[in-house]
Amino acid sequence: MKLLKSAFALVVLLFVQIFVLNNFLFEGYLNPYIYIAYILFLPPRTSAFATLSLAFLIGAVVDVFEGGYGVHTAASVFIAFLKPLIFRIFRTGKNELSKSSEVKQLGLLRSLAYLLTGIFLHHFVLFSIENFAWDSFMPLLMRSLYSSLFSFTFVLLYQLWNYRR
Amino acid sequence: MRYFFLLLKRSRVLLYFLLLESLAFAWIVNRRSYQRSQFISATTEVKGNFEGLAAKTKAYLNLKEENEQLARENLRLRESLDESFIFQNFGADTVNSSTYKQRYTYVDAQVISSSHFKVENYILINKGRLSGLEDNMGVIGPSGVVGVISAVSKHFARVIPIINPNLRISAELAQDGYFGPLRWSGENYRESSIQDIPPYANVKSGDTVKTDGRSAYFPRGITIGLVKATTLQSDQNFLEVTVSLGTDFSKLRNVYVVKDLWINELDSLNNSQ
Repeated sequence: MKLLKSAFALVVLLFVQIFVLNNFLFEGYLNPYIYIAYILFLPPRTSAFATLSLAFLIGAVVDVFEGGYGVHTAASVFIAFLKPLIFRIFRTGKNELSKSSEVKQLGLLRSLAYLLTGIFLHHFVLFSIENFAWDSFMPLLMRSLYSSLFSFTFVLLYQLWNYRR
Repeated sequence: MRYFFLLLKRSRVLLYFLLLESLAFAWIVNRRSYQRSQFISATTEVKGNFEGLAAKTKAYLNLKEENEQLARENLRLRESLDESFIFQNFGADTVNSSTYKQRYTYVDAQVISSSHFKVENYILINKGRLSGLEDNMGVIGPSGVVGVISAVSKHFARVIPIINPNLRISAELAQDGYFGPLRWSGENYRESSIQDIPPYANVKSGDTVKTDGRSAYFPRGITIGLVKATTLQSDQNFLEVTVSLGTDFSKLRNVYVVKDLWINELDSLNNSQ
């Protein structure tokens, strides 16, 4: 049942991403990519293989519909791989990996920082691969920063809606 | 051997990660393959159907502005009709109109989705193979060049606009006739630049930039934009001319696809030994 609910949330997230956010909001420059939040908020006990495979699938779906040709796939697999590392940075140290979700383990403030870091890294990798060059580094950095702040806001809105349901 | 398997087992997550990443990068690198164009053609159809719906509602909101833009274009076209000119025959020769043959025809289409803030921008339009569109046909808008068709499906076509670094077309400075490749740098969707203009060319800001007929996609003399500034290229030998583009890709809606009726003859000439 929980799995079904999670799958439904994923479908909703992808639908919103592909048909709403990619088309209408801010005409692409500040395109928020919220699908990465799903990977960041997978239960910590999820096996690394499952996380990586899921990231690959989600990225591929976004790529197919956005014409990104593997750009999103590469970025989201990368974040799925880095996820335990990012998580470890924001962990307080004493609590072991338990079954509870990230938010419960980290506390609200730390989990927000975890989310923002994850989103920023994802956007930075994504835009870097899209550019395939580092010659305009500052614009790239600024674009990643602004876009990740936007994505962050949208993920918060989405979570709010999700919890109220 | 045992240690090898042990190593393999310990780093299996890393290996799996590397496998998936290399798959993704293979996808990125192979983006120009034939399979890709087939694949795009199929997904274009699906995506086009969805977004055609959204674009229809969006169109109503922009009707007024679109009408004004089209009216301005009509005016300009009417001015260039034969009846707007006085024909003066001084008796020296006669014009045999049968020596003029039509070379280009146009198909009108509407934009159903587009991007202009990415590095690799694309546009979808609502006409496809059934309307006679094919790859490599030029696309122009009411206020200038838009791009070139890169994939067609049954009812839709995908256009690489001139604000995509993968497209290069030949552009000409209308005043003095120098030409060079127009290539977008990926930063500002209102600007592009022409490379390799000789330094002795007398380029002033405000000069018109037009297509020159050397790239087979467009007829000669379609507006691309106006010269904004010139800078010396890093090789110190040629000028780079910054062009402010005529087409505003953030509000593009009506476009025309250019069909070159003589393309087969030209192609066979180009491909002959």
